[in-house]
Amino acid sequence: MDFREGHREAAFRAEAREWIGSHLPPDWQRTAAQRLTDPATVMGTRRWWQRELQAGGWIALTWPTDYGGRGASLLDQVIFNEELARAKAPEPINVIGLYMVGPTVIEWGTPRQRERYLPPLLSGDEIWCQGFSEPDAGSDLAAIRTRAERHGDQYVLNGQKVWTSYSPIARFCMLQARTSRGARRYDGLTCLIVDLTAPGVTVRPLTQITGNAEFGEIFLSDVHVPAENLLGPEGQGWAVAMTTLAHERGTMPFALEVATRMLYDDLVDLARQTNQAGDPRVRSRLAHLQVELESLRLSNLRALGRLAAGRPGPEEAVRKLLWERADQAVASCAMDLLDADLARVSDDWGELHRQWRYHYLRSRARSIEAGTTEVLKDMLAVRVLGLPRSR
Amino acid sequence: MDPTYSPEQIAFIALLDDLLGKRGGVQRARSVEAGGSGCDLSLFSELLAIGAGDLPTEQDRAILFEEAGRYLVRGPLFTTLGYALPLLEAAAPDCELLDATRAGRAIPVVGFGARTVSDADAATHIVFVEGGEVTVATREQCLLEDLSSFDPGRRLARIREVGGRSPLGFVRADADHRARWAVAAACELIGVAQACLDMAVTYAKSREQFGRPIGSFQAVSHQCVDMYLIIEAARGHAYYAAWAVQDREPCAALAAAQAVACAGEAALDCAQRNIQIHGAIGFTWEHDAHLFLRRARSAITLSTMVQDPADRIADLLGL
Repeated sequence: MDFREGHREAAFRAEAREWIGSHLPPDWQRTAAQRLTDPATVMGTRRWWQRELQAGGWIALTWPTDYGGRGASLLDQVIFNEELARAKAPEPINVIGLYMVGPTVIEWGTPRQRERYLPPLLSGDEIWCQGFSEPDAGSDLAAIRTRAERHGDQYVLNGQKVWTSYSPIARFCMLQARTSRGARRYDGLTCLIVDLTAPGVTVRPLTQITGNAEFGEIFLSDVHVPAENLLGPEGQGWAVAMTTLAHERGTMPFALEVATRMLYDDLVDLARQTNQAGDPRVRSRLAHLQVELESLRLSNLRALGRLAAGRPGPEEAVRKLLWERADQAVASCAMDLLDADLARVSDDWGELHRQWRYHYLRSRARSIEAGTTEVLKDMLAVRVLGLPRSR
Repeated sequence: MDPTYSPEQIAFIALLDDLLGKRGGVQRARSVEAGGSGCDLSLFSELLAIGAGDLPTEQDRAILFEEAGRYLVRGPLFTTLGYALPLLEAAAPDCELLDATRAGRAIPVVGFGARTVSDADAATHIVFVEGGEVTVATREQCLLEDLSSFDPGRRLARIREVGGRSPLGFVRADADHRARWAVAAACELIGVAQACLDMAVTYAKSREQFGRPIGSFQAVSHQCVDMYLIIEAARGHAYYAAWAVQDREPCAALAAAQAVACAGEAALDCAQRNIQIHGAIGFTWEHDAHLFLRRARSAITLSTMVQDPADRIADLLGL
């Protein structure tokens, strides 16, 4: 067992740090401490940052060079992520594209699809969303009812998607629809690339408990999708979705860890600013949160070996579960610190409270998005621990 | 970077598994007779004979203590090799007592806060550390009072009087014995937690109620997953800390404190849930489940006697 970083990795880290430092605005550290929650500003910043990353050759490091990546190892991606956290850098805007759609298009897409869709996905010029959930198909993906009927060289889509992250700003949706019914519930699903500007598509933003509309609903009424937009063979939608979900669980936790680490660092700053860092109860809580954050980081490092050896397996869900718990605990702790500090009045009081309230409310979705806690625990129980199915 | 076991380490795990299994496994933990010693000196000698007293790396020690936790190996293995050995190595690497310990001729144990010792019933020496000063007394020089112990395989005693102590050496402020204690404790706790998860899953697959295996009920299966999750987390910490201590990384002290904090939580959580999943049978004296709960607590007792892990982490983070 060896967690040592080699000379090559140390050199890569230095290069990454240098690049990030010279591409973020000089006052970034200070402004990041008061990270903005105004959606328009945040999205603008994230769009700008993704372009910078792509232009500098730092986006999708692990993708093959033919598709716009660097063919780098996951360890390099981890090192780059750590440096992003250190600099409190913004998140790129096209996260669904980067972590889910891209790897799926690389695995299942035609050469033409890769050529058409991957470059603007990487630059963030075309934002993607993922059309899985429907009003009656949340955790139960096989219950999808949106229909795609083949008419010549077109599919005609009818149905509804909901709680679709980034749909209000997305250009394309990687969408699952039903083309037939088969012996098993998950037979007959088909994955299609849908242009959200096509006639018959209506996207309606959905306001979340935070007050922001980061997701939305998509209504599909006789939407014509060219058959060349099939992603994978007709009827193989379930297998395509499994690729998407395997990547979501395999590689996304590396990026999630960064976001929560930044939040924790802000929490420690908050404890210090409000003179609570010496309180034994606060000390103990911050220590426990530090342990949780490290649990996630070290689980990620231990996953590197598994992921290098093959496609992500069911045990990768562990890291999503560790992450959601840590993220919610950090945000909850901040709310408690603010409650204990209500009497304090300072210039940034309002802004500080507004941001932490946003993070606290946002954190409640962590255990719902990307696989609910319950559905992931079911999966681990059956596929890793070998327990009998519950249904 | 390679956070996995080497082939030699896998072979060492197999060797320990085989030896501890053949010697009666967990059943052996029950052979403590009323009024008899809590220690298992013959198993201790066998482990010394395969090199347990002189393992080449911290990672190998991690494996030893994890396996010992899984099989509930009794004293003085953990107290002597886990605690006394790193202290002697830090304070007096050339002392005769150290050689004698590795060879099985002496059994030193640590006197925590000069007040409490574990496994004193088999000890030949008690080692004290106060400030940086390390001293030693023979067992005969100490007047001990047996404390009623929670874990039958790890008996605690109070030190009433010490006749005389000989100076042994000093530990520097940056000595690594505390980190090594924490890693040893973390690994023993992970072994306990893993054994509990294995028992719980096996039982949940076979026990039927309402016409189905109870493991098909989410109220049961999700508890098993929670156990698995915290063990996975604790393993990452323990392996990382073992590496950091071995390579004298600047993060070693913090990594070790994190490891023992997480493993303590894992062991208690798993031991308690294991009893719950077994239902009434898990509450019987006859069942092994309570022995693991007792071991989890006794390992936490010893590590907390040094310092509360959360407090140590907060100190090291500069909070």
